Amino acid sequence: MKKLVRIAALASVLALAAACQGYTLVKGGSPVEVGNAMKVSPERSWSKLTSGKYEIWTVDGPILQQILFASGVEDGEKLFPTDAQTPKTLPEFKKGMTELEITELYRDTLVQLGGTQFEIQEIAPKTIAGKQGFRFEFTFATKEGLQKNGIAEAVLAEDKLYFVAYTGAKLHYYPKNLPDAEQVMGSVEIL
Amino acid sequence: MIIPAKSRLWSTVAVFAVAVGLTACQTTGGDAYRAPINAAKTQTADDPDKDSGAPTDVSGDSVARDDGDSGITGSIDDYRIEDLSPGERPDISSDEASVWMIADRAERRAANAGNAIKDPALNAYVSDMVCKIAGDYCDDIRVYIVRVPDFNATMSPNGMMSVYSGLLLRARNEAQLATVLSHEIGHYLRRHSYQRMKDTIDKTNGLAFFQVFTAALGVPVVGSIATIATVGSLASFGRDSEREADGYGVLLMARAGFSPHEAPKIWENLDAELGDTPRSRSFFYASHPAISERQTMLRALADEVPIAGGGPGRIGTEEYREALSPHWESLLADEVSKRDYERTERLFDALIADGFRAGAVYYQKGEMYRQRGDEGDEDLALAAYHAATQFIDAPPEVFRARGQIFQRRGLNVEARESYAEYIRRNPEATDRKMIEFVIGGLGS
Repeated sequence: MKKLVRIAALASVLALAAACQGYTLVKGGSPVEVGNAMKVSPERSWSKLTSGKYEIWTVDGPILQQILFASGVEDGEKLFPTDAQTPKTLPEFKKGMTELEITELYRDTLVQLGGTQFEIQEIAPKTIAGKQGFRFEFTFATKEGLQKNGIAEAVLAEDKLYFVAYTGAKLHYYPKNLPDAEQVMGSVEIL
Repeated sequence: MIIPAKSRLWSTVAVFAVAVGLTACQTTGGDAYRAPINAAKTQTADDPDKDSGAPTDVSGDSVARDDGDSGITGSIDDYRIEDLSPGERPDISSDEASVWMIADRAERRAANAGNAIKDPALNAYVSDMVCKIAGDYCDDIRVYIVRVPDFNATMSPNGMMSVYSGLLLRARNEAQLATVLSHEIGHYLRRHSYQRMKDTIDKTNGLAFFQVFTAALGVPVVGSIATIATVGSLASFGRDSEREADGYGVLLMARAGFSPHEAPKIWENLDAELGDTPRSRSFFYASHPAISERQTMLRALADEVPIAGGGPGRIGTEEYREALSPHWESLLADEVSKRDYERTERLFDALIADGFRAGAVYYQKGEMYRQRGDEGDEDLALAAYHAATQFIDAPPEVFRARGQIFQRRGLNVEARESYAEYIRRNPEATDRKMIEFVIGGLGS
């Protein structure tokens, strides 16, 4: 792995510069809009990547821990932004999906992106942004066998899906920022 | 190809959201580095088996797979085992040693892979069968069961065998699984992956060695020499090698006491499953003898080969079902997740006809229709769920799934009954709170 990292680093001076431009800072302590359809009030600072109505926030890097926001997903849209390299078979959100179908939508998205061993530990109703939504806890693993934990919250408003998922490496990184993620998820407002 | 920075970053995160262990910046570099090598692939995004490592040379043309007459006549006398002695490793100074080194490395990764099925009972069951078939070579072969819903098994030159979960779902008994395991062991004994690797190196020389070098550093080079080195797959040897491995397979399975008459049947089943879809067929015909030709040859060999014990040979249907039973639901669910609906429908119909735990098969058939969601699919799903409930072993989830369709249709009474039945049958359900909440919210 070390050698791979070294090769990757050597061969990637240009790519490195290009890629790292994508992150911007979310400053803790003030409310911030997410994808033009949600607002959250983070207490700590995060680094974020934006692609339209989707954002990924992280502290140590998205492999270690991340919050995925999908802000106002409409009928026929996906839970993850698509580009040339994401699989074309990512499942779509459909109007009228039941809560369980939304958990399946997330599971199938994760599996298509390379996750495995997805299991829901618990799913229960929860009030989110003053509306009736739900929350579920889950575990999964990467192709390489890295065990991850996650929580997700979802709410439907005017046939649009507002979805936030926090995931991270079971060892250290998930628990490390879980309180921060819970704080962010607890502050969700729908615009 | 230049990908805009932002889009490239998202792809990286897409993969990395669930994968690997580097930072986003490092991987992007890795991708850039690999690009020229991957450009040699001839496979397309639509390739039904793009991970199979089908051979290509660096020019992007397919390597000739049918190299003329191998001297195989279809008689069992053509198959003798003499190439590799038990416990033998290639001399450290040989070409083959480098191939083994690469394969050893891949094996270390495979042992920890996220999709490895680690259930000790199932592993012991398959490993014991491999041992029985491999005889003196038992200690040279290590089996890894991977959760990949395709009909496949692979054999590396160093003795690492991967058995795909999709194969376990498709074999109907021990003898049919033994057919494929024996076939793979045949590749191993005849060193087909090494032969093909050497052939490719001879043809492509400089770049090939470069690729071997980079592969040894852990950079995956799909569809090229490193794949050949690490994975000799059912899908990737040439036709002559396949015929030869079929022959060896029949010999080995019969010698281990399995009925060789089951060998043609697993191909017959596959033939039926593939149907007339050109897409699924092209992949198999590329490297494999036509299925009908294969069946004819296997039938002839099966009639001829002496079976250990002198009887008709072991079929082992009950034992096979018992070993698979704890995994049956997840094997079926993984098959649905492929989203290859027509093919899965044909397979499920065959499994239902076969009769093993048909309640679970009907349930997943219903799930398949519900997931596809085309016009009329909800009705097909409901019919499949209903059929599932006619079996004692219908999974409780059938009632939840049915409840969801009723709920969406506004049939609240039926939805409530279905959900309640789900909770009654599965009081420990992880989604019990959610379901009870949904029941509470259903008007009359």
